[in-house]
Amino acid sequence: MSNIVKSSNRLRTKSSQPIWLKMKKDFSSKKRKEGITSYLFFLPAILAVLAVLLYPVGKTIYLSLTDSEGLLPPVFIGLRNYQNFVHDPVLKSTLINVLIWTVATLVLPVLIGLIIANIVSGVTGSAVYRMIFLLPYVLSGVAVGALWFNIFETEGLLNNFLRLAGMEGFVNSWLLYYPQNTLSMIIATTWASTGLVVVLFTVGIQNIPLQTVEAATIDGANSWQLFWKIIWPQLKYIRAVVIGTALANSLRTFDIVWVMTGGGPSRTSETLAVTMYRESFLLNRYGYGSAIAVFLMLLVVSVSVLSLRGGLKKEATL
Amino acid sequence: MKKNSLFKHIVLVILSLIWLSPIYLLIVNAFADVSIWNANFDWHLKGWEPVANFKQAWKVADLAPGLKSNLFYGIVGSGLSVFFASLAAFSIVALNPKNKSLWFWVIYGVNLVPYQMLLLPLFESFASTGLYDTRWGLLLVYVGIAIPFAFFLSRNHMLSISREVVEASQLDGANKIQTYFKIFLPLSWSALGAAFLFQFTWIWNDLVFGMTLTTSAEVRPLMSTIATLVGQYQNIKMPIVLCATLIASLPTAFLYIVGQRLFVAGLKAGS
Repeated sequence: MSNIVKSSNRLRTKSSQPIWLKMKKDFSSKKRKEGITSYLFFLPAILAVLAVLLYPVGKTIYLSLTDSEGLLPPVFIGLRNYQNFVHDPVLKSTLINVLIWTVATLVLPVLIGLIIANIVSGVTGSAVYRMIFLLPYVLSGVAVGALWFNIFETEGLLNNFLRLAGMEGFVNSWLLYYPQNTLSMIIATTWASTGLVVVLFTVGIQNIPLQTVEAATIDGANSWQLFWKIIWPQLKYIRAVVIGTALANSLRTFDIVWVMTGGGPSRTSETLAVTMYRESFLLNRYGYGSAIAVFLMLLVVSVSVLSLRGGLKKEATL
Repeated sequence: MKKNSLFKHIVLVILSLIWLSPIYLLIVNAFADVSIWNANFDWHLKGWEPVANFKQAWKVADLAPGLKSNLFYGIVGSGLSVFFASLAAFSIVALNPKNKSLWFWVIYGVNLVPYQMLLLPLFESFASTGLYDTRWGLLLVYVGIAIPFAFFLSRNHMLSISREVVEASQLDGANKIQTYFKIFLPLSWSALGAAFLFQFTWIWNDLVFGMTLTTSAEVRPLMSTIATLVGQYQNIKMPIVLCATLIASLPTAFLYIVGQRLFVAGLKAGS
């Protein structure tokens, strides 16, 4: 607002200006024009993000403060949805599931991926191995869910295999009881998501200057020392990206649970994303579902910002 | 040294076998002879009818329109999102706008939003603007959602382009659009290619937006069509359903095998 007033004042006094002021003005308007063109470059991205992401997020935050159930116009009810959410008896088990998923995804795909990446790099035929681990990643969540459902089903393949191997004692209704249903789904997820971690870490390892590694080897470092002293610190940035994405993905786990157990039996394997979907789209409790979505978003954003900060700092100095 | 790498190969082969066995199961059961199929997954081959099953899956699941839509969403959606994202990344890296990190988080931060959070408002606004069940509407959603990560990748890559190159081109009198098209775009095409592959795969495999925002077979993406089959094992035999999921995964698998070098090169430059 004040800018507009300023510039119109300038326009009016244009003819009577001393030359040095005129120059200063030209300079500043050129600079402003440059500022505007640099914004023009991210206009398409901002507009698309605004329409598809920011506006819906705002709308959901608004809905979370109402009693919206779809038919009647929503009534503002303050934080009551959040209070109900906190008092939901299933909340505790849902949060425990989210915690299990988060820890397990950090330990399994990220750790296994890091180990495989270390073994793969420098071995002949590493591209072939990488391809094998990446194959599950190109399958859709629907395919992965259908495949592993058939493996873990009570009359499924795993139990058949255990009976054949004479391990009757281990035969189990994998998807029908807690916590083995959550563990089964974590195994399926690990299978599907490790490949990408392998590729990302291999890329990180290949980026380490060869001289550094050679110098360490000449100095007599064994492979254990090589990993901790050379490779691990050099992977700092890519590690932050991998862990950040893994955390965000595990907190919002949905597809695989939806296809394999639907969150059951009696909601024991629900994650926050599943609870949210069920409340909103099966029970039409839009306001309440939105409150869960907002809670989930706050969780994901805070965890991601914390884990990404370390990695992004490095670039700030660039 | 040799002993060491032999040991590595043994570990890798064992792990590869573990990773491949579900794929083996998928293929064996997808190509089984439907007439002797006994409703359970099996390790053994029960007949080998890939061609017949492919044909039947194609017909029963009516995959042609979904495949056509998916190609449109995947190529155009991923292409546009990577182009827009690279423009934004170029601006932030090379043009030094005010509040750089604010803009970075405005575009990248929404990448962390759970998709469920978007469904309801998108459904409502699509219904009221006539975008519901249209190809352009769904395309808009895919472009918007794919932008943040493509932006993240291309920004990381562009940070590695040296300032001297940019300054030299400006001294030569290149304007911003020329700097983008003549310097940044050619120098970062491998990172942009990797971003394209990533986002193409994501769009190709999307289930939830297709389910929520479309109904007609012409508009509906492939995975949403197939997901409705998964729930109907009684009507359609499982080998046929699995075959349909295999057909649906062929294009992405092909892209990764062909583009692996590009993919790795792009990420490498971006890290």
